[in-house]
Order: sequence, then structure tokens, then C-alpha cells
Amino acid sequence: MIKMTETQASVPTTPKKRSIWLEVFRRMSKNKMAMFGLAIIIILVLTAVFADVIAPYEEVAIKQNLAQRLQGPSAKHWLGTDEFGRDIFARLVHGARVSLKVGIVAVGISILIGGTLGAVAGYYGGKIDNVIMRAMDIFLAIPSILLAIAIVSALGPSLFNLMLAIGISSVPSYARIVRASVLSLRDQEFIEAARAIGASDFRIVTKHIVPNALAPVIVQGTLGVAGAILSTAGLSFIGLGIQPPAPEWGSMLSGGRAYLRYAWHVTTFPGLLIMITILALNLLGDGLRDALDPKLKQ
Amino acid sequence: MAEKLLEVRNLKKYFKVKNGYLHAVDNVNFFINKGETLGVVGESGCGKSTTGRVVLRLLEATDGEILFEGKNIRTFNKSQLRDLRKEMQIVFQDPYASLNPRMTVSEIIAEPLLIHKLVKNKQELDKKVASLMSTVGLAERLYNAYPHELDGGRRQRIGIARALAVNPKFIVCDEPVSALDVSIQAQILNLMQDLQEEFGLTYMFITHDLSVVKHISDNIAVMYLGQLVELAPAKELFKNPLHPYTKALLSAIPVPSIKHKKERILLKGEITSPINPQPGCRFAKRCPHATDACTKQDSTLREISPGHFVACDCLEVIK
Repeated sequence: MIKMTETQASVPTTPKKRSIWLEVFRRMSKNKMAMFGLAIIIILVLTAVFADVIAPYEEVAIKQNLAQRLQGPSAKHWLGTDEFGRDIFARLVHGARVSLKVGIVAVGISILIGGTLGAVAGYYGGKIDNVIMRAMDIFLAIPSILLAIAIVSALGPSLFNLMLAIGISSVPSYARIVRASVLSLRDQEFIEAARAIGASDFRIVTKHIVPNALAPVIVQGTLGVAGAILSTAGLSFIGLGIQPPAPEWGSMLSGGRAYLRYAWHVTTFPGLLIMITILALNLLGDGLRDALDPKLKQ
Repeated sequence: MAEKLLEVRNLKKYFKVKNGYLHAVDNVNFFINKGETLGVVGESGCGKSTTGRVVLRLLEATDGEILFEGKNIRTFNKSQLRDLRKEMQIVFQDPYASLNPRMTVSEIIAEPLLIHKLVKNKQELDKKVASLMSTVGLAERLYNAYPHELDGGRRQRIGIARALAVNPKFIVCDEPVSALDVSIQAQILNLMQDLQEEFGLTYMFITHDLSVVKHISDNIAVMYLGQLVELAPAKELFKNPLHPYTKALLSAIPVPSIKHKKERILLKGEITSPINPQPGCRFAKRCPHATDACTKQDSTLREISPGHFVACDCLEVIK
């Protein structure tokens, strides 16, 4: 009997373990729009991290200077000043901190809660599935911004409550996504193989199902950060979000709307920044979706 | 007589479906001796794979006994079942679906070792994984490769290595070669035979490919619609098939000869629905020899000659 063995067995070194995520990045790097989005996000993150270096918070972003109110863009104030004479550029820089923090934490909360609920519903099925998903359906029937408004009004406006409200209001969509991928994964042979070698339910879910169900969640999460930033801006616009004088893009937009006719820059720049951020996140999300799809292997 | 490693008595597995119960496995009896291979053949949907999974308790049986080394494993609790996983393993049909795409070759093979704590430290783990890889003929350089980078044959070798990792006595092979190219099929079959010799493994080899089953089995069980219709030593079954279904099945094997004129038995009629089946022989509707009596009562498995069991009540009439 012939025992077949590998012919190239003489290659001395075994290649290093390559990360799947590195592979995804390599694939995404061919997508120019996605890389453009990623670049903007990186710039925003760096801006948020080094906000204090770029513009001191207390002196520039908060301190009112009524003598210089509503000035147009100039060499001293690149993007002009707002109705209290504060530098708009500095406030935008510090606003990035709030927006990104809210966006990421809110999405983190919804992925954590929604993902767990969806995974449990999908894995165990039957009654548990029914109870969880019907509850999610009820949640879905309420417009998410309305739900967020209700939660913030009940708990009172604060940064944490805002994140919690936005996070909870988008829990159902993550639960649905995770449940759908778990359902399709649950009957795959490698799950059965894991059971055959004696893996516990916990191990099967954490080691086999979650890593394989992650891709759509990451895509949705990227797009979700954009939605959360928009919701924060919206809630701040109506006064339920970040409270003045802390700089936040939405409340800046709201503060400037009274002066729209003669000081266009007060609302234009925060609006533009919100738009660019959302656009960048959406481009990145689309690029990630394509890069994570194994069917598009090149 | 050889020692029985596995014995199945009156095994039943019914699935609840919309309009009743689907009798996937219905009153199946067989046994496998230590170190031997039982080939299970039958057309798709006849319950071969379900039988394999029920035997491993990957699916819970509806009724019956599964005796492994004399103990009824249907009564095992969770921790006993965990230990049983070290004794009984499975190799799957589709090497593309049975490996986790996010794990490397070494991680897949190491998993059973980690679950059952068969190694003490990282070095021992690496050593064991490397030795398993060389046992199944996987090159060392594939240590950190992902399954999607490999061809079907190498993936199936990973599946075999994973099953071997816990040092099992018994392996259910669920059509392990039917998803592979013919040339690769031979390699994998030879590998499995070598492993059987080396480790004294016992196989339950499920397939629909009769030439494969002839090549590898000591005994062959023929299944039809969830029931065992014939069980005989491989040679005996091919030389002297008794059940009309087995005869039809064997006549369908292509013979690679131009001159050879073989009479094929063509089956007419429709397959009986496995959902809430009527009593009577399941094959009666398509059987050329069926009588009224066949549709009235279930046929029972009888021993015609030593080791040759047939489930057909009008065997004497046919002769």
C-alpha cells in the first residue's frame, strides 16, 4: 500500500500564522473609496486624541469672548467664531472627542447586548428564540430616535445616558443580524464536528460561532457609528444631548441656526463635518463589507 | 468469534415534521466487531448518515439500545458522554464544511487535545499536533495554513487527524470520500486502511459508492428507507445478494468493459414516503416480486446463512 505524503515536506520553516484581519485589510486597500474613508476616520481619531494639543479646551473652546462674536473665517479664527465669540475650529476639534466617544461606546453597547441576545436566540432556537425575537420586534416598532428621546428624558441628559439611549435603541438590528448568522452557522458541519469532539456549548459559541458571525456585525457596527453620531447630533440639537457649554457638533449646529442669515459659517462648518464623518464611515463600512465577503476572493 | 465493539438494537430515530413523524431510522439492528469495518450503503435519504449520528449521540435516538463495549450509551450522562467522545469519533463527508474557516490547521487538530486536556503544556501540544499531521500525511509547512487554502484531499486529512487526536477506538466515516476526486479518493481510502491497521480502529463506513464499500468493508449493511434490508460479509453480499433491493443495487455498478453485457434491474414505482409509513415491507411498492402479504406486515431480519441477514419475507418464493 502506498502511503501518500507531501512532496514539498522538505521546506524547512513553517510560515507564520497570518491574521485573517490582515488579509481583509490587504483586500480592502484596493478599494480607493474605502481607504479614503479610513483616512478621514484616522485623521478624526487623531484629532480627538490630540484635541488638547491642537486647541486648549478652557481658553479657546469654552471661554466666551463677546467682543469677537460671529466673526467670519480669518487667519486668527480659521473657521470664524460663534455667537459667544468662541473659536469654531477649536470647538469642532473638541466636539470630535464627544462624537467619536458616543458613536463607539453606543455601538459597543448595542453589539454587546444585541449580539448576546441574537446569539442565544439563534443557538438555542425554539421558545427562547421566540421570546427574544418578539421582544426585539416590539422594540423595532418604536422609532429609534423616539426611543432614545424617551430614555434620555427618563434618565436625564448626560453623556452616559446619551450613549446608553442610543445604544439600546439600536439593539434589535444587531440581535437580528447575529441571530441570522448564528442560524446559518448552527447547522454547519464544523459545529457538529466540534460537538463530536466534546466541545461545550460555551466553547462552540465563543470559539466557532462568534468568530464566523463577526463579519456582518463589524460592517453594521461601522455604519452604526455613523448613525449614532447623527443621533447624538440630533438629540443635542433639540437639547437632550450634550449640555452647553461643552462643544458638540449637533448643539453647535443648533446654536448657530438663529444667526443663519448673517453668520453662515456658524452652522455650515459643523454641518459639513458631520456630513464628511458620516460619509467616511459609510465608505469604510461598504469597503469592509466587500472585503469581508469570502465570495469576492481575488 | 471476534469481540463485538458496537451493537445496535432496535434503533429508531423519528423526526417530527409538519404532517407526522419521519421515520429516518426504523428498527435497525447490527453489530460491528473490534478492528473490523462495517460498510453502510443505500440511496440518499435512506437514513445512513442519521444512523451514524445517532450511534455517536450527535442526535438523540427515539428508541432502542446502542451498546458500546457492552454499555448502553443512550443512558450516559453529560460527563460520561464527554469521556465517550474520546472513544468514538466521526469523519465528515464535506471537508469544506466540516472545518472552521477561521481556525488554522494546527488549531483545528489541537482542539480535541485541549478539550480533553490530553496534553500538559504548549510544547507537548505542538509535538502531538506535529505527529498527528505526519501520521495523516500533512506537511509541516501547513501548520499555520487556513483550510480554504488547501484542496479537498488535504482538508479531509485534517478532518481525519482531528478525529484521531483523542485516540479513538471507533470512527464513523460519513461518506468521507464522496466529495473528493477519484484519484484523491484512493489516497484517502488507503490512508484510512493504513490507520486502521496501525491503531486497530473500528470503522462504520457510510457511503453510497458500492465500489468503495467493497474495497474497504468486512461486512456490509444495505439500508432502504430507514430499515436494514440486508447485512452480510462483503464477499458474500457481492456474490450472493438475496434481497431484491440489494440485487437491483448491485446490478447498477458500472462495469468497465465494452463486451460485458449486464442485465440491469430497473426499479419502477415511487419510493414510499418515510413520513408515517404504512406497515409492510418498505420496498414492496417497487419490488418486482411483491405479493399482497408484503404490504400487510413488516418484514423481519432473519439469518439465512451464518452472518448473512436478510429482511424479506418472500425470499423462498423468489428463489
